[in-house]
Amino acid sequence: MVWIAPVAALVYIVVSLAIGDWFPFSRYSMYASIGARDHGAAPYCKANGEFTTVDRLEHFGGFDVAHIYPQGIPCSLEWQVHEARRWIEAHMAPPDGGPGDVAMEFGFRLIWVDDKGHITEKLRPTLNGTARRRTGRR
Amino acid sequence: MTGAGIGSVLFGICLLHSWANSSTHVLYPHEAVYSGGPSMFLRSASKRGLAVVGATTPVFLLATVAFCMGTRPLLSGAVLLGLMAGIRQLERRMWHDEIVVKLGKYVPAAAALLGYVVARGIAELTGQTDEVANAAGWEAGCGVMGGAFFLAGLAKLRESGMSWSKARNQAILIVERSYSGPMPVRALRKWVAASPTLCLAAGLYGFYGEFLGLLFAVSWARWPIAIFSVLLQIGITVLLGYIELEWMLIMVALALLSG
Repeated sequence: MVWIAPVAALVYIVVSLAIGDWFPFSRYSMYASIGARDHGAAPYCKANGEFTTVDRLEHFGGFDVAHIYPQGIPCSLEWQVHEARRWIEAHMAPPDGGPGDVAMEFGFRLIWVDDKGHITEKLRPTLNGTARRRTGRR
Repeated sequence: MTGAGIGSVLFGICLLHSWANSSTHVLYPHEAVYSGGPSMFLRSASKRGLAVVGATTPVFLLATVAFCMGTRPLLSGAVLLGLMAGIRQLERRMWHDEIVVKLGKYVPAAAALLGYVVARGIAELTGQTDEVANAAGWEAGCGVMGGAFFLAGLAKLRESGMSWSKARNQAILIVERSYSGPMPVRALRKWVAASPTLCLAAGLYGFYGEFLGLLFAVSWARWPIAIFSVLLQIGITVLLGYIELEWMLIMVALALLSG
């Protein structure tokens, strides 16, 4: 019986390496590439200059959402960025809807940590436009 | 309750957690599941998701109870795998650009279950007793999870080399998450990110620990690896903000089930 687990481990490893992410096999490569980064990035959203979350806004306009995540921004929170993009795409103002009453900005905090642990950050906006605050149940 | 009984309950929780996770993505494909808050659940679910989840969840619950109670484990295990594969496919279709796959949404309970079902099936086909077939199944489940940990370590080595565990890499990962979550947790993440010693310790623990996870395939090493895994998940929850209940419980469940 003691040989079953090592054989199962070997088979799972070999098949996963061969076929990649194919349920329920996987190469489990989440965060594997972080060694290539010299700084990080965290998405942010502002409404009228105050930090908020993107799902508190709707009726977006005045920008091209394709520019939300330019190449070269080393962000490991891609779920949040993808969600924000989906959210914005699904809640754009209709062409005849007029602009929202809130100045909206989406972008990234670029973050550096030096070898002594000093943290520095800089905001890099990627979208600037308008939106409305979202209220009530949908 | 026996150790195996507790293990069955924990494994059942892992299965249910996996199902709930996928169901949430299928029910709310237009909500900010990760960056939004619980208020998402007050909003309308997708009709397609509601139909699928509504129709399949009772079957999933029944199959989970049957599997955990040892009632026709091959059949109930196969049904569970089929349902999990199905909802995963739907999840992939409803979330664009393959992000369900690309961004690391794993299903450890299903992987262990597959190992169990295959090994148990072979044991039954070769005329083994129910007890031996069950033990063979859980041995295989343990092997699969050991393999999964090893693969995670191997991916880091292949893509980043030994430098993956460097303090600065961990600090950047942690500080990126210091802008979300409760304020005390944000402060803790910033404090840890500013400590090269703590970040190096976290990096070494994660990197080498995942390779050592392969030892889960050996019975005497299961409890140390299970404890390592729980501590790793606690660290991930606190420092990275991901509450991976399935990962937290699966190794303990399997250590108990394999005796």
